[in-house]
Amino acid sequence: MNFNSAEYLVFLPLVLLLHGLLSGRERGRHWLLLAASYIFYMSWNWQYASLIAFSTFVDFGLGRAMAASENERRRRALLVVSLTTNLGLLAVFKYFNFFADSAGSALAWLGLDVELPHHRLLLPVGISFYTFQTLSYTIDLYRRQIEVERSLTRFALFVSFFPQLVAGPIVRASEFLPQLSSPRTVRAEQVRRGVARIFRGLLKKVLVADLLAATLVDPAFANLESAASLDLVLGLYAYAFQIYADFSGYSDIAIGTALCLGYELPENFNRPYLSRNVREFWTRWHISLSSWLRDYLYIPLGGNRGSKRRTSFNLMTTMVLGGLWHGAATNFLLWGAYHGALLMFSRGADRRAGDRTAPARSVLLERAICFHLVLGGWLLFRVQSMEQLGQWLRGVSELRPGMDARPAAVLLLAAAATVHFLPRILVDRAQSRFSEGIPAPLQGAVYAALVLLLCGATLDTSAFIYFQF
Amino acid sequence: MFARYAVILWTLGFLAAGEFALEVRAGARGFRTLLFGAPVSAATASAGEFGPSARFPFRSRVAPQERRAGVPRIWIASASYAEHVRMPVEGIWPVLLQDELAARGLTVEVLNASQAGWELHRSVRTLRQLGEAWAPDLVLVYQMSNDLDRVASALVGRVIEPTEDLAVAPDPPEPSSELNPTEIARQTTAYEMMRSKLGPLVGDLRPQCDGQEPGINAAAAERIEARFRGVIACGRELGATPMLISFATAYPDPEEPLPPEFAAGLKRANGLLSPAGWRRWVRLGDRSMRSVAAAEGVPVLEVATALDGREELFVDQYHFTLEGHRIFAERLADELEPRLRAREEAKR
Repeated sequence: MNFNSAEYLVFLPLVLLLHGLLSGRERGRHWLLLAASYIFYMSWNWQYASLIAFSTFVDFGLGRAMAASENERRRRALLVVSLTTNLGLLAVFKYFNFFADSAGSALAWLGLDVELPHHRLLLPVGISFYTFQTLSYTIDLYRRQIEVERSLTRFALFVSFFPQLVAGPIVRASEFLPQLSSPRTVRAEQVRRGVARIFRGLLKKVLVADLLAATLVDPAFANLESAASLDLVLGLYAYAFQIYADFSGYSDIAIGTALCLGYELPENFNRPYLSRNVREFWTRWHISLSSWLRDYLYIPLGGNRGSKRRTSFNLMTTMVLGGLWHGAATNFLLWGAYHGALLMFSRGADRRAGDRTAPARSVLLERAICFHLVLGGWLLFRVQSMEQLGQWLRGVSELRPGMDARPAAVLLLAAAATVHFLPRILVDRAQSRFSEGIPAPLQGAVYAALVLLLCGATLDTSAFIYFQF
Repeated sequence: MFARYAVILWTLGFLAAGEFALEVRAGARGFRTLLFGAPVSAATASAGEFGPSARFPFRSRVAPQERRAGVPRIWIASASYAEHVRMPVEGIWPVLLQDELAARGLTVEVLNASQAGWELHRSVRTLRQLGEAWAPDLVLVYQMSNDLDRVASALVGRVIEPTEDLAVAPDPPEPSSELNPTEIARQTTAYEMMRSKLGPLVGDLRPQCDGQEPGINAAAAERIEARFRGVIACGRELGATPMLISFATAYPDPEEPLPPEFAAGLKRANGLLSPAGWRRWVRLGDRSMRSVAAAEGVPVLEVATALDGREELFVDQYHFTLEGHRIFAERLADELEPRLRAREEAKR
């Protein structure tokens, strides 16, 4: 059940109305949301609901045991069990075949023809997201940063809350469990803001991401061997805005849906292409993942507290694993390593820049440089093999003449870029003026027209990019 | 409670009211709608003399499942061009073909196993499912544009197809009795209207293949040939004689400008080929079909020549007007008559 589907158009109002009817009965609401979340998840593959349930039971039980113990060795052992279980699930479902292939290639290179076992299990939707979420709970509990959750229903809802279950934002236990413990009041103003946010996300997804994909990105990447150089370059620029609109659109819908139910989810994007360096980019792009990696991987590895070499190692390890989190493929690994290298360089450049009394580079230039560095990463992200990467580079370097892209499609790309670079306050203000200053019937008429527009344009189009992770 | 969710309720209310109004309008114009179903004339016609019905799953004159001695059965493997739900069933060419042959003294039973959107794979699947029980003598194949669309999406759009192997080609989803919001949404008039308005707009935004890339064309020809070979083999497995029919279009010449509404119709169905490219691919498809027919010893019934380029016989690039259906049936009868008589002679 995609957010941009007819199913969700039926599902969401139904859940909201039932949630409204249960006003004042928090336990009832939690059960309703839990049931809705499992139904939402099972609409992809009902069998894999057992995996979330398994993770939930394991971490709930381990959390209770950890809270009951003062013995550090026992607490550490319980944490190790949690890490092994959750990362084990990820390893089996997501990485097993990749590592088997890689090991097979390595052995073949050594002259050993060994057939390593593979499985044909489908990758469970959202496994990377909910695994990180449950891990944040046990790790925070181990660090004594949060209180243990004593209600299995609330804990299960934290793990499976449907608005952000399959593609984030990754919600920490410290952010969400307290919200479940206090009664939620849903006000009309919240619902209006939430609905406006949902439509903002849908517009991003359908009118920007899907259209850019259909008009510039897919045609270019589908014809790497013959496409004109300009089309290949435009396709890459368009991909930068496609993936932003796709993923941030999903986050908008998740945040808006949660808001309609009375819950606050963390922001996941903050106009990332305005970053002045790659470090800043990672504080604006997929914020919930980058902060998770920082707090649960980079800092425990030692962060920047050690030598320069050690810090570089920590950065590279964090980013390579962050790349692999997106998918078990060489291009994601390279994408992570590329960003790791950029961050290492960025640290050095920042130190050198800090020595100067007056920075020579303008903010605009810094932003342009940073954007193009990130763009290089998106090329690694978009291609499906190293052969395709080579084809793209060859296609651009050969300076193939012509351009197949339609002028209207290029204008669409320019419009997407312009909206991205508009001050956020302008967009937020327009959204709140609409949701707060216009009577509900008029808003309803506008939204109904938008539903028609979006349904007409999307029923046959693709799911969100980040669903695959 | 109402005040809290007023925005959502108003939105749903406007959507329901809008859909209802559009359905009333569409129903009055003779279209099938979600709430009101088929137009009255089609429904009454289907109820008695014509299928489809539970016992006779074909859109043609009802015939008993048991074979009548000496009456040849003609199976029509086609798509919307032969189903044409927006035309009265009495006026579509499979029905007219039966009437025309009867007028020439040849009694036949026509089983019109055609449905909008079906391509050759689906025709094969249906032939496999129903062919044995209904035992046709001839299998007439009139397919092209849906196969071109699918092949274009595989080769131009690079959409990964599960398989091209007819033996394992998956069934397209059948209409389900379960409550399926996406299917229901696709049947709404609002959706249909938005798709028809937005489809050409999006088609205009994306670069389109003009059908002149040798590599893609060769791959397309290979796939189209495989599809025709599949339906021929299936017909023969059932003991029937397969025959292919040349495909007719309103504007066959790729260089000739298309009327805007015809071009829009093509883009709605196939946003990957330009109007010129689409017409080049019809030629490519025709060549592929003929090459398979020659290799397999299957006749090609030359019907397209009677209609090709006559815009007045088409409602769009490849669906006929009532007059188009009549001429098509007549021409097809011309092609079939000597073959049927020769068959009769041979049996005597």
